[in-house]
Amino acid sequence: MKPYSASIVITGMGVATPLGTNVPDLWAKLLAGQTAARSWADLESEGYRSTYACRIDALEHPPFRRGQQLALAATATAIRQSGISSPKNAGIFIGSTLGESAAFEYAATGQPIDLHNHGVKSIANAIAAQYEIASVPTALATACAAGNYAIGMALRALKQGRISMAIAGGAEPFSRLAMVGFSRSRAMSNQYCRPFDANRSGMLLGEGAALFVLERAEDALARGATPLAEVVSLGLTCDAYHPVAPLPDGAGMYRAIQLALQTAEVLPESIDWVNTHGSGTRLSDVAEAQALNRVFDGKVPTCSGSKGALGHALGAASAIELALCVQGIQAQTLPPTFGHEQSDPACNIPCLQQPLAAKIQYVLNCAFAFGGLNSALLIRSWKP
Amino acid sequence: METISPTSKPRSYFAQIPFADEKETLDSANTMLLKAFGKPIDPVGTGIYLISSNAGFYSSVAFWKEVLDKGPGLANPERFPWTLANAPCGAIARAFGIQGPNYTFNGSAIDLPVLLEQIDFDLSQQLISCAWLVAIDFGAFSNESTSFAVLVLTDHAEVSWISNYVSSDEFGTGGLASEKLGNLLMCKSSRH
Repeated sequence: MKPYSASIVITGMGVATPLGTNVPDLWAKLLAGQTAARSWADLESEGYRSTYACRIDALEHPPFRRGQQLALAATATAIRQSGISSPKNAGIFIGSTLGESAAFEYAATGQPIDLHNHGVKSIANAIAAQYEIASVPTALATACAAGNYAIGMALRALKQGRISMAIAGGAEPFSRLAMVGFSRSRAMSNQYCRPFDANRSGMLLGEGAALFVLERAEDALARGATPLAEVVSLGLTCDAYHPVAPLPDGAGMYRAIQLALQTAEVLPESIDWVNTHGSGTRLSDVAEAQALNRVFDGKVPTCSGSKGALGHALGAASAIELALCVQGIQAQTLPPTFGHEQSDPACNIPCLQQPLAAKIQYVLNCAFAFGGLNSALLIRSWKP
Repeated sequence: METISPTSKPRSYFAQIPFADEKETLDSANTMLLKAFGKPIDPVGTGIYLISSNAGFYSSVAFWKEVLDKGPGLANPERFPWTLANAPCGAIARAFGIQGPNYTFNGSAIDLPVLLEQIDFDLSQQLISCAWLVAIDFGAFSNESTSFAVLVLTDHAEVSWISNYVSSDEFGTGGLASEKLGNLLMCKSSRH
Protein backbone atom coordinates (compact mmCIF):
# COMPACT_ATOMS: atom_id res chain seq x y z
CA MET A 1 0.00 0.00 0.00
CA LYS A 2 1.37 3.41 -0.99
CA PRO A 3 1.49 5.79 1.97
CA TYR A 4 -0.31 9.04 1.27
CA SER A 5 0.44 10.91 4.46
CA ALA A 6 -0.48 14.48 3.54
CA SER A 7 -3.17 16.06 5.72
CA ILE A 8 -5.93 17.65 3.69
CA VAL A 9 -7.74 20.63 5.16
CA ILE A 10 -10.69 22.86 4.37
CA THR A 11 -9.71 26.51 4.22
CA GLY A 12 -12.89 28.02 2.83
CA MET A 13 -16.57 27.15 2.59
CA GLY A 14 -19.65 28.75 1.13
CA VAL A 15 -23.30 27.80 1.19
CA ALA A 16 -26.56 28.69 -0.47
CA THR A 17 -29.48 27.21 1.44
CA PRO A 18 -33.15 27.98 2.15
CA LEU A 19 -32.16 29.07 5.68
CA GLY A 20 -29.31 31.34 4.71
CA THR A 21 -26.82 32.09 2.00
CA ASN A 22 -23.86 32.27 4.34
CA VAL A 23 -22.72 29.91 7.06
CA PRO A 24 -23.16 32.27 10.06
CA ASP A 25 -26.81 33.03 9.14
CA LEU A 26 -27.57 29.39 8.45
CA TRP A 27 -25.92 28.29 11.69
CA ALA A 28 -27.75 30.88 13.81
CA LYS A 29 -31.14 29.86 12.38
CA LEU A 30 -30.36 26.20 12.82
CA LEU A 31 -29.39 26.69 16.47
CA ALA A 32 -32.57 28.75 16.97
CA GLY A 33 -34.61 25.75 15.85
CA GLN A 34 -35.94 27.28 12.64
CA THR A 35 -37.05 25.43 9.54
CA ALA A 36 -37.39 26.61 5.96
CA ALA A 37 -40.24 24.17 5.35
CA ARG A 38 -43.53 25.63 4.21
CA SER A 39 -46.29 25.07 1.73
CA TRP A 40 -45.80 26.75 -1.66
CA ALA A 41 -48.69 28.36 -3.53
CA ASP A 42 -47.31 27.47 -6.97
CA LEU A 43 -47.11 23.79 -6.06
CA GLU A 44 -50.64 23.92 -4.65
CA SER A 45 -51.98 25.49 -7.83
CA GLU A 46 -50.17 22.94 -10.00
CA GLY A 47 -51.90 20.06 -8.22
CA TYR A 48 -49.01 18.54 -6.29
CA ARG A 49 -50.00 16.06 -3.58
CA SER A 50 -47.19 17.29 -1.32
CA THR A 51 -46.77 21.05 -1.38
CA TYR A 52 -44.29 21.48 1.49
CA ALA A 53 -40.69 22.08 0.50
CA CYS A 54 -37.60 24.08 1.46
CA ARG A 55 -36.72 26.51 -1.32
CA ILE A 56 -34.57 29.58 -1.70
CA ASP A 57 -36.78 32.61 -2.26
CA ALA A 58 -36.03 35.29 -4.82
CA LEU A 59 -32.99 33.67 -6.39
CA GLU A 60 -32.23 35.33 -9.70
CA HIS A 61 -30.65 33.14 -12.34
CA PRO A 62 -30.48 32.77 -16.10
CA PRO A 63 -33.06 30.35 -17.57
CA PHE A 64 -32.30 26.72 -16.66
CA ARG A 65 -29.22 27.74 -14.66
CA ARG A 66 -30.49 27.69 -11.08
CA GLY A 67 -28.04 24.97 -10.02
CA GLN A 68 -25.17 26.80 -11.64
CA GLN A 69 -26.12 30.03 -9.90
CA LEU A 70 -26.24 28.33 -6.51
CA ALA A 71 -22.86 26.70 -7.10
CA LEU A 72 -21.22 29.93 -8.25
CA ALA A 73 -22.52 31.85 -5.23
CA ALA A 74 -21.21 29.21 -2.81
CA THR A 75 -17.89 28.96 -4.62
CA ALA A 76 -17.32 32.72 -4.46
CA THR A 77 -17.82 32.68 -0.69
CA ALA A 78 -15.54 29.67 -0.23
CA ILE A 79 -12.76 31.22 -2.27
CA ARG A 80 -13.09 34.51 -0.43
CA GLN A 81 -12.86 32.81 2.96
CA SER A 82 -9.88 30.70 1.91
CA GLY A 83 -7.93 33.82 1.00
CA ILE A 84 -6.42 32.23 -2.08
CA SER A 85 -5.48 34.82 -4.66
CA SER A 86 -6.25 32.72 -7.70
CA PRO A 87 -7.85 29.28 -8.00
CA LYS A 88 -6.62 28.80 -11.59
CA ASN A 89 -4.69 25.65 -10.67
CA ALA A 90 -7.51 24.08 -8.70
CA GLY A 91 -9.18 20.79 -9.48
CA ILE A 92 -12.97 20.94 -9.53
CA PHE A 93 -15.20 18.16 -8.15
CA ILE A 94 -18.95 18.76 -8.18
CA GLY A 95 -21.76 16.45 -7.15
CA SER A 96 -25.43 16.66 -8.13
CA THR A 97 -28.19 14.26 -9.13
CA LEU A 98 -29.04 15.23 -12.69
CA GLY A 99 -27.98 18.86 -13.01
CA GLU A 100 -30.45 21.49 -14.16
CA SER A 101 -33.73 19.66 -13.67
CA ALA A 102 -35.77 22.49 -15.21
CA ALA A 103 -34.03 21.93 -18.54
CA PHE A 104 -35.26 18.33 -18.65
CA GLU A 105 -38.77 19.46 -17.76
CA TYR A 106 -38.59 22.00 -20.58
CA ALA A 107 -37.37 19.37 -23.05
CA ALA A 108 -40.48 17.32 -22.23
CA THR A 109 -42.63 20.10 -23.68
CA GLY A 110 -41.01 19.42 -27.06
CA GLN A 111 -39.01 22.63 -27.11
CA PRO A 112 -35.42 22.37 -28.39
CA ILE A 113 -32.70 22.49 -25.73
CA ASP A 114 -29.22 20.94 -25.55
CA LEU A 115 -29.50 18.67 -22.53
CA HIS A 116 -25.80 17.78 -22.63
CA ASN A 117 -25.19 21.38 -21.64
CA HIS A 118 -27.47 21.06 -18.60
CA GLY A 119 -26.24 17.90 -16.88
CA VAL A 120 -24.09 17.80 -13.73
CA LYS A 121 -21.04 18.55 -15.83
CA SER A 122 -22.50 21.91 -16.85
CA ILE A 123 -22.39 23.08 -13.22
CA ALA A 124 -18.75 22.02 -12.86
CA ASN A 125 -17.92 23.67 -16.19
CA ALA A 126 -19.49 26.94 -15.04
CA ILE A 127 -17.13 27.12 -12.05
CA ALA A 128 -14.16 26.37 -14.29
CA ALA A 129 -15.21 29.10 -16.70
CA GLN A 130 -15.84 31.65 -13.96
CA TYR A 131 -12.34 31.26 -12.53
CA GLU A 132 -10.49 30.43 -15.77
CA ILE A 133 -9.51 27.04 -14.42
CA ALA A 134 -7.83 24.97 -17.11
CA SER A 135 -8.14 21.47 -15.66
CA VAL A 136 -11.02 19.23 -16.70
CA PRO A 137 -13.73 19.56 -14.02
CA THR A 138 -15.13 16.36 -12.57
CA ALA A 139 -18.90 15.86 -12.31
CA LEU A 140 -20.25 13.21 -9.96
CA ALA A 141 -23.82 12.09 -10.46
CA THR A 142 -24.16 9.98 -7.34
CA ALA A 143 -27.57 11.20 -6.22
CA CYS A 144 -28.05 12.04 -2.56
CA ALA A 145 -24.48 11.09 -1.62
CA ALA A 146 -22.86 13.20 -4.35
CA GLY A 147 -21.44 15.86 -2.04
CA ASN A 148 -19.51 13.30 -0.01
CA TYR A 149 -18.27 11.65 -3.20
CA ALA A 150 -17.00 14.99 -4.53
CA ILE A 151 -15.15 15.80 -1.32
CA GLY A 152 -13.69 12.29 -1.30
CA MET A 153 -12.37 12.69 -4.83
CA ALA A 154 -10.78 16.00 -3.92
CA LEU A 155 -9.20 14.31 -0.90
CA ARG A 156 -7.77 11.59 -3.13
CA ALA A 157 -6.44 13.97 -5.81
CA LEU A 158 -4.75 16.17 -3.21
CA LYS A 159 -3.21 13.20 -1.40
CA GLN A 160 -1.90 11.82 -4.70
CA GLY A 161 -0.40 15.21 -5.50
CA ARG A 162 -2.39 15.47 -8.74
CA ILE A 163 -3.56 18.99 -7.87
CA SER A 164 -2.43 21.77 -5.54
CA MET A 165 -5.90 22.78 -4.38
CA ALA A 166 -9.49 21.74 -4.95
CA ILE A 167 -12.88 23.35 -5.22
CA ALA A 168 -15.34 20.64 -4.28
CA GLY A 169 -18.91 20.22 -3.09
CA GLY A 170 -22.46 19.78 -4.29
CA ALA A 171 -25.22 21.79 -5.92
CA GLU A 172 -28.87 21.03 -6.52
CA PRO A 173 -31.57 23.31 -7.88
CA PHE A 174 -35.16 22.81 -6.75
CA SER A 175 -36.60 20.12 -8.99
CA ARG A 176 -40.28 19.69 -9.81
CA LEU A 177 -39.34 16.40 -11.39
CA ALA A 178 -37.89 15.17 -8.08
CA MET A 179 -40.85 16.64 -6.20
CA VAL A 180 -43.27 14.53 -8.20
CA GLY A 181 -40.96 11.53 -8.33
CA PHE A 182 -40.41 11.24 -4.59
CA SER A 183 -44.08 11.90 -3.99
CA ARG A 184 -45.08 9.14 -6.42
CA SER A 185 -42.53 6.87 -4.71
CA ARG A 186 -44.39 7.57 -1.45
CA ALA A 187 -41.21 8.90 0.12
CA MET A 188 -42.49 12.44 0.67
CA SER A 189 -43.93 13.90 3.86
CA ASN A 190 -47.02 16.03 3.39
CA GLN A 191 -45.83 18.49 6.02
CA TYR A 192 -42.64 18.53 8.11
CA CYS A 193 -39.72 16.14 7.86
CA ARG A 194 -39.05 14.47 11.23
CA PRO A 195 -35.81 12.49 11.25
CA PHE A 196 -35.87 9.42 13.55
CA ASP A 197 -39.17 10.59 15.06
CA ALA A 198 -41.95 8.14 15.88
CA ASN A 199 -44.35 10.25 13.79
CA ARG A 200 -42.16 10.76 10.75
CA SER A 201 -43.90 10.39 7.40
CA GLY A 202 -41.16 11.03 4.86
CA MET A 203 -38.75 13.48 3.37
CA LEU A 204 -39.11 17.08 2.21
CA LEU A 205 -37.41 18.37 -0.88
CA GLY A 206 -34.82 21.12 -0.51
CA GLU A 207 -32.25 22.79 -2.70
CA GLY A 208 -28.94 24.56 -2.36
CA ALA A 209 -25.20 24.28 -2.68
CA ALA A 210 -22.11 24.04 -0.54
CA LEU A 211 -18.62 24.41 -1.92
CA PHE A 212 -15.26 24.08 -0.21
CA VAL A 213 -11.66 24.99 -0.87
CA LEU A 214 -9.41 22.10 0.10
CA GLU A 215 -5.62 22.10 0.26
CA ARG A 216 -2.74 20.13 1.68
CA ALA A 217 -2.25 21.44 5.21
CA GLU A 218 1.39 22.31 4.59
CA ASP A 219 0.43 24.46 1.59
CA ALA A 220 -2.35 26.20 3.49
CA LEU A 221 -0.11 26.95 6.46
CA ALA A 222 2.71 28.12 4.22
CA ARG A 223 0.50 30.84 2.76
CA GLY A 224 -0.80 31.82 6.18
CA ALA A 225 -4.28 30.32 5.89
CA THR A 226 -6.21 28.98 8.86
CA PRO A 227 -7.54 25.44 8.35
CA LEU A 228 -11.17 25.10 9.41
CA ALA A 229 -11.12 21.32 9.67
CA GLU A 230 -9.28 18.30 8.32
CA VAL A 231 -10.90 15.86 5.91
CA VAL A 232 -9.69 12.44 6.98
CA SER A 233 -11.33 9.61 5.05
CA LEU A 234 -14.34 8.47 3.07
CA GLY A 235 -16.02 5.08 3.19
CA LEU A 236 -18.10 4.03 0.17
CA THR A 237 -20.19 0.92 -0.34
CA CYS A 238 -23.19 -0.22 -2.34
CA ASP A 239 -26.08 -2.31 -1.03
CA ALA A 240 -26.64 -4.02 -4.41
CA TYR A 241 -30.10 -4.74 -3.08
CA HIS A 242 -32.93 -2.53 -4.37
CA PRO A 243 -33.33 0.53 -6.64
CA VAL A 244 -34.80 2.73 -3.91
CA ALA A 245 -34.84 0.87 -0.57
CA PRO A 246 -31.84 0.36 1.69
CA LEU A 247 -30.86 -3.01 3.09
CA PRO A 248 -33.31 -3.27 6.04
CA ASP A 249 -30.54 -4.07 8.54
CA GLY A 250 -28.35 -1.19 7.34
CA ALA A 251 -25.48 -3.57 6.53
CA GLY A 252 -24.21 -1.48 3.62
CA MET A 253 -24.35 1.71 5.67
CA TYR A 254 -22.48 -0.10 8.48
CA ARG A 255 -19.71 -1.14 6.08
CA ALA A 256 -19.32 2.41 4.72
CA ILE A 257 -18.92 3.84 8.24
CA GLN A 258 -16.54 1.04 9.20
CA LEU A 259 -14.46 1.69 6.08
CA ALA A 260 -14.15 5.39 6.91
CA LEU A 261 -12.99 4.54 10.44
CA GLN A 262 -10.65 1.72 9.45
CA THR A 263 -9.03 3.69 6.64
CA ALA A 264 -8.24 6.46 9.12
CA GLU A 265 -7.33 3.99 11.89
CA VAL A 266 -9.79 5.77 14.16
CA LEU A 267 -11.71 3.82 16.82
CA PRO A 268 -15.50 4.21 17.02
CA GLU A 269 -15.24 5.57 20.57
CA SER A 270 -13.27 8.54 19.20
CA ILE A 271 -16.30 9.86 17.32
CA ASP A 272 -17.90 12.84 19.06
CA TRP A 273 -20.80 13.53 16.71
CA VAL A 274 -22.62 11.83 13.86
CA ASN A 275 -24.34 14.06 11.35
CA THR A 276 -26.91 11.54 10.18
CA HIS A 277 -28.40 11.18 6.74
CA GLY A 278 -31.77 11.26 8.57
CA SER A 279 -34.05 11.56 5.56
CA GLY A 280 -37.17 11.11 7.71
CA THR A 281 -38.44 8.11 5.73
CA ARG A 282 -39.64 5.05 7.62
CA LEU A 283 -37.18 2.58 6.09
CA SER A 284 -34.02 4.65 5.75
CA ASP A 285 -34.02 6.03 9.29
CA VAL A 286 -34.43 2.56 10.81
CA ALA A 287 -31.66 1.12 8.63
CA GLU A 288 -29.34 4.01 9.53
CA ALA A 289 -30.04 3.65 13.25
CA GLN A 290 -29.30 -0.08 13.04
CA ALA A 291 -26.03 0.60 11.23
CA LEU A 292 -24.97 3.15 13.85
CA ASN A 293 -25.85 0.86 16.74
CA ARG A 294 -23.78 -1.90 15.16
CA VAL A 295 -20.75 0.34 14.52
CA PHE A 296 -20.83 1.80 18.02
CA ASP A 297 -21.91 -1.39 19.78
CA GLY A 298 -25.04 0.28 21.11
CA LYS A 299 -23.17 3.33 22.43
CA VAL A 300 -23.97 5.70 19.58
CA PRO A 301 -22.45 9.18 19.98
CA THR A 302 -24.68 12.24 19.88
CA CYS A 303 -26.46 12.50 16.53
CA SER A 304 -28.14 15.31 14.66
CA GLY A 305 -29.80 15.77 11.31
CA SER A 306 -30.62 18.85 9.26
CA LYS A 307 -33.22 17.66 6.76
CA GLY A 308 -36.09 18.77 8.98
CA ALA A 309 -34.76 22.32 8.83
CA LEU A 310 -33.39 22.44 5.29
CA GLY A 311 -35.21 19.72 3.42
CA HIS A 312 -33.31 17.15 1.39
CA ALA A 313 -31.11 18.97 -1.11
CA LEU A 314 -30.30 15.65 -2.83
CA GLY A 315 -26.86 15.95 -4.48
CA ALA A 316 -26.03 19.03 -2.41
CA ALA A 317 -27.28 17.64 0.90
CA SER A 318 -24.12 16.00 2.17
CA ALA A 319 -22.04 19.02 1.13
CA ILE A 320 -24.35 21.40 3.00
CA GLU A 321 -24.21 19.06 5.99
CA LEU A 322 -20.41 19.00 5.79
CA ALA A 323 -20.50 22.79 6.15
CA LEU A 324 -22.59 22.31 9.30
CA CYS A 325 -20.09 19.75 10.61
CA VAL A 326 -17.20 22.15 10.02
CA GLN A 327 -19.11 25.00 11.64
CA GLY A 328 -19.96 22.74 14.58
CA ILE A 329 -16.27 21.98 15.04
CA GLN A 330 -15.44 25.67 14.84
CA ALA A 331 -18.14 26.56 17.37
CA GLN A 332 -17.66 23.37 19.45
CA THR A 333 -21.43 23.07 19.36
CA LEU A 334 -23.79 20.44 18.00
CA PRO A 335 -26.95 21.64 16.26
CA PRO A 336 -30.48 20.42 17.05
CA THR A 337 -32.57 18.20 14.80
CA PHE A 338 -35.65 20.10 13.71
CA GLY A 339 -38.69 17.84 13.64
CA HIS A 340 -37.30 15.26 16.03
CA GLU A 341 -39.65 15.38 19.01
CA GLN A 342 -40.59 11.85 20.00
CA SER A 343 -37.92 9.22 19.46
CA ASP A 344 -38.95 6.14 17.52
CA PRO A 345 -38.01 3.07 19.59
CA ALA A 346 -37.05 1.42 16.29
CA CYS A 347 -34.47 4.21 15.80
CA ASN A 348 -32.59 3.91 19.05
CA ILE A 349 -30.02 6.69 18.65
CA PRO A 350 -29.41 9.83 20.76
CA CYS A 351 -30.82 12.42 18.38
CA LEU A 352 -30.27 15.95 19.62
CA GLN A 353 -33.29 18.24 20.11
CA GLN A 354 -31.48 21.30 21.48
CA PRO A 355 -28.05 22.79 20.69
CA LEU A 356 -25.29 21.25 22.78
CA ALA A 357 -21.90 22.72 23.60
CA ALA A 358 -19.38 19.90 23.55
CA LYS A 359 -15.77 19.06 22.87
CA ILE A 360 -15.79 17.99 19.23
CA GLN A 361 -12.80 16.44 17.52
CA TYR A 362 -14.06 13.70 15.21
CA VAL A 363 -17.30 13.97 13.20
CA LEU A 364 -18.92 11.51 10.81
CA ASN A 365 -21.03 12.87 7.97
CA CYS A 366 -23.32 10.11 6.63
CA ALA A 367 -25.10 10.24 3.29
CA PHE A 368 -27.01 7.51 1.50
CA ALA A 369 -28.75 7.44 -1.86
CA PHE A 370 -31.18 5.69 -4.15
CA GLY A 371 -29.35 2.92 -5.96
CA GLY A 372 -28.02 1.60 -2.64
CA LEU A 373 -25.15 4.07 -2.34
CA ASN A 374 -23.67 4.51 1.13
CA SER A 375 -21.07 7.08 2.12
CA ALA A 376 -19.48 8.15 5.40
CA LEU A 377 -17.05 11.06 5.48
CA LEU A 378 -14.79 11.45 8.51
CA ILE A 379 -13.50 14.89 9.45
CA ARG A 380 -11.74 16.20 12.52
CA SER A 381 -10.80 19.47 14.13
CA TRP A 382 -7.51 20.79 12.80
CA LYS A 383 -4.54 20.32 15.06
CA PRO A 384 -1.13 21.29 13.67
CA MET B 1 -22.25 -6.71 -30.34
CA GLU B 2 -18.82 -8.06 -29.65
CA THR B 3 -17.08 -9.71 -26.75
CA ILE B 4 -13.32 -9.39 -26.63
CA SER B 5 -11.30 -11.82 -24.58
CA PRO B 6 -7.58 -11.11 -24.78
CA THR B 7 -7.03 -13.88 -22.23
CA SER B 8 -8.97 -17.05 -21.47
CA LYS B 9 -10.90 -15.10 -18.84
CA PRO B 10 -13.00 -12.29 -20.34
CA ARG B 11 -11.80 -8.95 -19.01
CA SER B 12 -13.48 -6.57 -21.38
CA TYR B 13 -16.69 -6.14 -23.27
CA PHE B 14 -18.09 -3.80 -25.87
CA ALA B 15 -21.56 -3.75 -27.36
CA GLN B 16 -23.90 -1.57 -29.35
CA ILE B 17 -27.34 -2.07 -27.84
CA PRO B 18 -30.50 -1.21 -29.79
CA PHE B 19 -32.35 1.91 -28.60
CA ALA B 20 -34.47 1.55 -25.49
CA ASP B 21 -34.95 3.47 -22.27
CA GLU B 22 -32.34 3.22 -19.51
CA LYS B 23 -34.05 0.35 -17.67
CA GLU B 24 -34.50 -1.88 -20.70
CA THR B 25 -31.00 -1.08 -21.90
CA LEU B 26 -29.48 -2.08 -18.57
CA ASP B 27 -31.55 -5.27 -18.49
CA SER B 28 -30.04 -6.20 -21.87
CA ALA B 29 -26.55 -5.09 -20.92
CA ASN B 30 -26.58 -7.04 -17.66
CA THR B 31 -27.82 -10.20 -19.38
CA MET B 32 -24.99 -9.96 -21.91
CA LEU B 33 -22.40 -9.18 -19.25
CA LEU B 34 -23.49 -12.04 -17.01
CA LYS B 35 -22.94 -14.44 -19.92
CA ALA B 36 -19.55 -12.92 -20.67
CA PHE B 37 -18.16 -12.35 -17.18
CA GLY B 38 -20.21 -14.30 -14.67
CA LYS B 39 -20.37 -13.01 -11.09
CA PRO B 40 -17.27 -11.39 -9.61
CA ILE B 41 -15.11 -13.44 -7.26
CA ASP B 42 -14.88 -10.66 -4.68
CA PRO B 43 -18.13 -8.67 -4.88
CA VAL B 44 -17.43 -6.71 -1.68
CA GLY B 45 -13.99 -5.73 -2.97
CA THR B 46 -15.19 -4.78 -6.44
CA GLY B 47 -15.97 -1.18 -7.34
CA ILE B 48 -17.85 0.18 -10.34
CA TYR B 49 -16.64 3.40 -11.97
CA LEU B 50 -19.23 4.34 -14.57
CA ILE B 51 -19.12 7.28 -16.92
CA SER B 52 -21.95 8.46 -19.11
CA SER B 53 -22.70 11.57 -21.09
CA ASN B 54 -26.44 11.20 -20.66
CA ALA B 55 -27.54 8.64 -18.07
CA GLY B 56 -30.97 9.61 -16.76
CA PHE B 57 -31.68 12.07 -19.58
CA TYR B 58 -34.15 9.94 -21.51
CA SER B 59 -36.10 8.79 -18.46
CA SER B 60 -36.21 12.32 -17.02
CA VAL B 61 -37.81 13.72 -20.15
CA ALA B 62 -40.14 10.72 -20.48
CA PHE B 63 -41.19 10.96 -16.82
CA TRP B 64 -41.95 14.65 -17.12
CA LYS B 65 -43.91 14.07 -20.34
CA GLU B 66 -46.12 11.73 -18.31
CA VAL B 67 -46.57 14.41 -15.66
CA LEU B 68 -47.58 16.92 -18.33
CA ASP B 69 -49.92 14.45 -19.98
CA LYS B 70 -51.54 12.85 -16.92
CA GLY B 71 -50.87 15.24 -14.04
CA PRO B 72 -48.41 14.92 -11.15
CA GLY B 73 -50.55 12.37 -9.35
CA LEU B 74 -50.49 9.79 -12.13
CA ALA B 75 -46.92 9.64 -13.45
CA ASN B 76 -45.41 6.15 -13.37
CA PRO B 77 -43.42 5.90 -10.11
CA GLU B 78 -41.35 3.01 -11.48
CA ARG B 79 -39.76 5.31 -14.02
CA PHE B 80 -38.64 7.87 -11.45
CA PRO B 81 -35.55 6.02 -10.11
CA TRP B 82 -34.27 5.85 -13.69
CA THR B 83 -34.32 9.64 -13.95
CA LEU B 84 -31.39 9.60 -11.52
CA ALA B 85 -28.10 9.44 -13.38
CA ASN B 86 -26.69 6.82 -11.01
CA ALA B 87 -29.47 4.30 -11.70
CA PRO B 88 -27.49 2.33 -14.33
CA CYS B 89 -24.53 1.90 -12.00
CA GLY B 90 -26.86 0.69 -9.25
CA ALA B 91 -28.51 -1.74 -11.66
CA ILE B 92 -25.15 -3.29 -12.58
CA ALA B 93 -24.27 -3.59 -8.89
CA ARG B 94 -27.54 -5.41 -8.20
CA ALA B 95 -27.19 -7.76 -11.16
CA PHE B 96 -23.69 -8.82 -10.08
CA GLY B 97 -23.94 -8.35 -6.31
CA ILE B 98 -21.13 -5.76 -6.44
CA GLN B 99 -20.93 -4.02 -3.06
CA GLY B 100 -17.83 -1.82 -3.34
CA PRO B 101 -17.72 1.86 -4.34
CA ASN B 102 -20.35 2.77 -6.91
CA TYR B 103 -19.27 5.84 -8.87
CA THR B 104 -21.22 7.57 -11.63
CA PHE B 105 -19.52 10.37 -13.54
CA ASN B 106 -21.26 12.66 -16.00
CA GLY B 107 -18.83 13.30 -18.81
CA SER B 108 -17.03 12.08 -21.92
CA ALA B 109 -13.72 10.58 -23.01
CA ILE B 110 -11.82 13.57 -21.70
CA ASP B 111 -12.86 12.55 -18.17
CA LEU B 112 -11.52 9.00 -18.37
CA PRO B 113 -8.10 9.87 -16.85
CA VAL B 114 -9.70 11.03 -13.60
CA LEU B 115 -11.68 7.78 -13.30
CA LEU B 116 -8.44 5.87 -13.80
CA GLU B 117 -6.69 7.98 -11.16
CA GLN B 118 -9.44 7.10 -8.70
CA ILE B 119 -9.26 3.41 -9.61
CA ASP B 120 -5.48 3.42 -9.23
CA PHE B 121 -5.79 5.05 -5.82
CA ASP B 122 -8.49 2.67 -4.62
CA LEU B 123 -6.49 -0.37 -5.79
CA SER B 124 -3.25 0.93 -4.26
CA GLN B 125 -4.95 1.63 -0.94
CA GLN B 126 -6.52 -1.85 -1.05
CA LEU B 127 -9.97 -0.29 -0.81
CA ILE B 128 -10.86 -2.60 -3.70
CA SER B 129 -9.31 -5.65 -5.33
CA CYS B 130 -11.02 -5.17 -8.68
CA ALA B 131 -12.49 -2.25 -10.62
CA TRP B 132 -15.08 -2.31 -13.36
CA LEU B 133 -14.58 0.66 -15.63
CA VAL B 134 -17.92 1.10 -17.40
CA ALA B 135 -18.78 3.62 -20.09
CA ILE B 136 -22.33 3.88 -21.36
CA ASP B 137 -23.79 6.48 -23.68
CA PHE B 138 -27.47 6.03 -24.36
CA GLY B 139 -29.09 6.51 -27.73
CA ALA B 140 -31.40 9.49 -27.59
CA PHE B 141 -33.66 8.56 -30.48
CA SER B 142 -35.08 5.35 -31.95
CA ASN B 143 -32.49 5.36 -34.74
CA GLU B 144 -29.57 5.58 -32.29
CA SER B 145 -28.00 2.68 -30.43
CA THR B 146 -26.42 2.71 -26.98
CA SER B 147 -22.64 2.25 -26.72
CA PHE B 148 -21.57 0.13 -23.77
CA ALA B 149 -18.00 -0.77 -22.81
CA VAL B 150 -16.64 -2.51 -19.72
CA LEU B 151 -13.05 -3.16 -18.66
CA VAL B 152 -12.05 -5.13 -15.58
CA LEU B 153 -8.91 -3.77 -13.93
CA THR B 154 -7.09 -5.42 -11.06
CA ASP B 155 -3.66 -3.87 -10.80
CA HIS B 156 -1.59 -0.76 -11.40
CA ALA B 157 -0.05 -2.07 -14.63
CA GLU B 158 -3.47 -2.52 -16.24
CA VAL B 159 -4.62 0.91 -15.08
CA SER B 160 -1.39 2.47 -16.30
CA TRP B 161 -1.77 0.83 -19.73
CA ILE B 162 -5.31 2.12 -20.14
CA SER B 163 -4.31 5.54 -18.81
CA ASN B 164 -1.60 5.83 -21.43
CA TYR B 165 -4.10 4.87 -24.09
CA VAL B 166 -6.83 7.30 -23.09
CA SER B 167 -4.31 10.12 -22.69
CA SER B 168 -2.66 9.46 -26.05
CA ASP B 169 -3.58 11.27 -29.20
CA GLU B 170 -3.89 8.05 -31.19
CA PHE B 171 -7.67 8.24 -31.15
CA GLY B 172 -8.05 11.81 -29.92
CA THR B 173 -9.06 12.86 -26.40
CA GLY B 174 -12.61 13.98 -27.16
CA GLY B 175 -15.79 12.12 -28.00
CA LEU B 176 -17.86 9.68 -26.01
CA ALA B 177 -16.13 7.63 -23.34
CA SER B 178 -17.89 4.45 -24.47
CA GLU B 179 -16.70 4.89 -28.04
CA LYS B 180 -13.17 5.65 -26.91
CA LEU B 181 -13.03 2.46 -24.87
CA GLY B 182 -14.83 0.58 -27.66
CA ASN B 183 -12.12 1.68 -30.09
CA LEU B 184 -9.48 0.46 -27.67
CA LEU B 185 -11.13 -2.94 -27.29
CA MET B 186 -11.64 -3.44 -31.02
CA CYS B 187 -8.06 -2.39 -31.67
CA LYS B 188 -6.82 -4.79 -28.98
CA SER B 189 -8.96 -7.58 -30.40
CA SER B 190 -7.63 -7.12 -33.92
CA ARG B 191 -4.07 -7.26 -32.57
CA HIS B 192 -4.83 -10.63 -31.00
